[in-house]
Amino acid sequence: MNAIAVHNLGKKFKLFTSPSGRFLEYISIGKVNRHTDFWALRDLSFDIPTGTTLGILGQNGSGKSTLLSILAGVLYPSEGSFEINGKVSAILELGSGFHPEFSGRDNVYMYGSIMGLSKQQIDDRFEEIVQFSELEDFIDQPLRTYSSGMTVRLAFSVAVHVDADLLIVDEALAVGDAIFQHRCFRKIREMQADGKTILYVGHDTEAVRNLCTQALLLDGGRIIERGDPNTVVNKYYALISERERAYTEGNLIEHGEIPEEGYEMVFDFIENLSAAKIVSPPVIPVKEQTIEVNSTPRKVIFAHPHSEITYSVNIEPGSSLAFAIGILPAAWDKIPQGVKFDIEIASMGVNEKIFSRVLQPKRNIGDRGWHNFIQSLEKFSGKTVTITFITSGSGEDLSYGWSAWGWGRVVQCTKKDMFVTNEIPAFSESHQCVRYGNRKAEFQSIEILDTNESPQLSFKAGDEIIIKYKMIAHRDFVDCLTIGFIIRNKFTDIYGTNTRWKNCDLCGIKKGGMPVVNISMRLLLGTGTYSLTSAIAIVHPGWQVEVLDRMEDHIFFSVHNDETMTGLTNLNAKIKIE
Amino acid sequence: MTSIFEYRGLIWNFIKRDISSKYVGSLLGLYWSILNPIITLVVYIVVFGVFLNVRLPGSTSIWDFALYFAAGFLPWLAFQDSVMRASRSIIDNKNYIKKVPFPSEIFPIYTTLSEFVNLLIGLTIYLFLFLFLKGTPTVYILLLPLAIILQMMFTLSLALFLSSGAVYFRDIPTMLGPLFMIWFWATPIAYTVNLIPVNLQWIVKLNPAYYMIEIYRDALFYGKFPEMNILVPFLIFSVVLFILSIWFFRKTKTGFGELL
Repeated sequence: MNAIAVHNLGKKFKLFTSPSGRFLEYISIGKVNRHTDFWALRDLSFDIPTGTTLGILGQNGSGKSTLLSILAGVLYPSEGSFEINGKVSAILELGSGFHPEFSGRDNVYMYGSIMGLSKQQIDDRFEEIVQFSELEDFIDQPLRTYSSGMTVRLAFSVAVHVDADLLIVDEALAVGDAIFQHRCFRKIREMQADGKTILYVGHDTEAVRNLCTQALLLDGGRIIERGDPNTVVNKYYALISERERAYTEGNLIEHGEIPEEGYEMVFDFIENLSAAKIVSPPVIPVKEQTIEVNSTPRKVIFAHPHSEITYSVNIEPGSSLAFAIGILPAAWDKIPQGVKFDIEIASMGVNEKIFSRVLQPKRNIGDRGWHNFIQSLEKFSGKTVTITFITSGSGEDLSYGWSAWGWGRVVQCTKKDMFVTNEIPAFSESHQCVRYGNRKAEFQSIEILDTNESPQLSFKAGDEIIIKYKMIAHRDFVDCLTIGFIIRNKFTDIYGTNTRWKNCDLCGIKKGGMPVVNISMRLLLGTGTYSLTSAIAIVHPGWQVEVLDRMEDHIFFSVHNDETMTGLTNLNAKIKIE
Repeated sequence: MTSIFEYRGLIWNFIKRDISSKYVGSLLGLYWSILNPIITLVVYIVVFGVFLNVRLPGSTSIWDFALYFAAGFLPWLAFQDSVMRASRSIIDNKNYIKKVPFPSEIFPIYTTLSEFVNLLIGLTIYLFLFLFLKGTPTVYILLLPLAIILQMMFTLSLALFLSSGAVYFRDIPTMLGPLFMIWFWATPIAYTVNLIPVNLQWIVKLNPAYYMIEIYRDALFYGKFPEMNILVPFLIFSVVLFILSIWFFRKTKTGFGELL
């Protein structure tokens, strides 16, 4: 029997820039569009068996509270459906049903009847409620004389005494003093023992670990992990630290090269923005903006999807188009599907797409930061063409997206060996791990093998394993390549080393070279799930690390230890009694 | 509506709290709800009956006019106050609507019902006045419950429409002040129908408040059974409007959580 069944649930909010825009939409009966859609939840499907205590984790804005509000019946879903079996008691905000002028007693009766109790039922529980809240001496005082902690205690006491089949608690346990919190947890355990279903939402991972039998991790309005609380809490920490690191790094990263030397600027798109023909979304106009990359100010064109910026340019022989694309950091978390950047050139009535690239900064760290490109315009030389820069999203999923075209210009090549950035092949479409680097060399496959050379993902403590890296070099290397790995349990780097520290860097690699590196070791670990992070890098003098290809936590493997022990690693203690 | 019925205990609690919270801390307390209508009544009767010398057709007595006016004005006052307060009921209770899951219909309903206490007080004042001036009322006073039920349905319908509409269009409660003033003067309450030019009387026929007031006057003042062309249209109108308003509220309440 499921207490909650959720099918393809989604919640869309319409974002208006002004109340008049909303009013205009009402009176035009859908003819006028003045809003942008924002999906706070999308494609949520899950069942919660009766008796489960489910913890819901997620960062701010991940959709937790929206989900709870929908399940509590305060918000209505935009798509999909859900079923709840039994009576619900929701504490979305403690004490929100209280009236300050009335006494604690009156408020208990009022709150109780809001929660669906009859007067008789409240009479029966009144003593117990007051006792639980420890407010015997104040129960006939007006509520405005209560401290906020006292108010919360009273509200929580009523809510847990409603005898609901499903209790929904939104970050409410974090209030009250330690003794009261302790009592709340005890009450929740009692309810668990009675077979009630409980939904707990909050940032308190300890509460999730200790109380919940299952947990769910939301991110960007989608479920990204569901399972036992420990795993989910670990994933949650990984997500936070990953995002934190990526945020600081990503903002600085610049991919590709900007043509500075050997090129001459012919036409600057940003300077000529006012001369361009612009199509932009109604609320968010295309505009010039200055951003900072590596502490250097750079000019960009801010173009929220869907927008089109069209220029008319005369192409002289030997010209190339140099530009950068990027998505402003504030939008990274909000666009799971990414933003598509296209460039079309129309000449003599023929339209040709010369560039197309999707950036998905949420899924792929490598897509964060700025990406510089140079495209040859040789085949248009001597012609007057229109160049259109198009930013687009899927419209549906892409509810939000700020994107930008940076330092665009037509440059003229005075240097012969002009290099054109190639599209980089993806590692594996199904594999959505965090991956970044300039990919001058990259991993083709990574496997963890057992002693029989067969790939495995679960091992026994003490097993011998081999990590097999197959790589490909996309150019000749003067420097030696360093291959390294880290094994983590999501909080801690347990062990990591590299070919440099082991004095076996790969030197003299030529373009097209496909070296294979085997690293073997013994898994002296405790029971648990571990992740592997791998990287190819060049270590320049002074430990300046140039990352060629780095994949964070891309393989998860489990280790089972037959021996009972505590801690991270099995140091194989021998005990001798004298 | 059946689910609303299950919440009758809660609605009753809200009404009790509403009434007691209205007078918490004021010196005269509940007496204000008696004093208020009496003062207003006296002012109107002095201005219209004494200064402007308005009389009913076929009567020279100022008391006839006073009773005629009171029989229409007291229900009107309750009607106007209920609708105006109820129109704010959803906006004012956003704390509940956003945080506590239960049917939001409860707010316009309890506000309307709580304001009906004023109608009962007004009608009691009227009956005392009548007893004092005219003696025992006729048997048609028994029509009073029907008049009250019809008014309640009409008021609730407007309350449901406007309280929900106000969430989407916040200017509604503010707009109601001047609108009700116009409506009051467009309805024959302080004057009689025959004072309206004949070619404008069709406007009165389109005004539901006129029908509502007429039924009250028949029960309270004229002591006769209402004309069929008054009772039947208003009965049908009230029922249809009530059903429509419930449908409208159900349809629009899905947006409350996010708009408040």
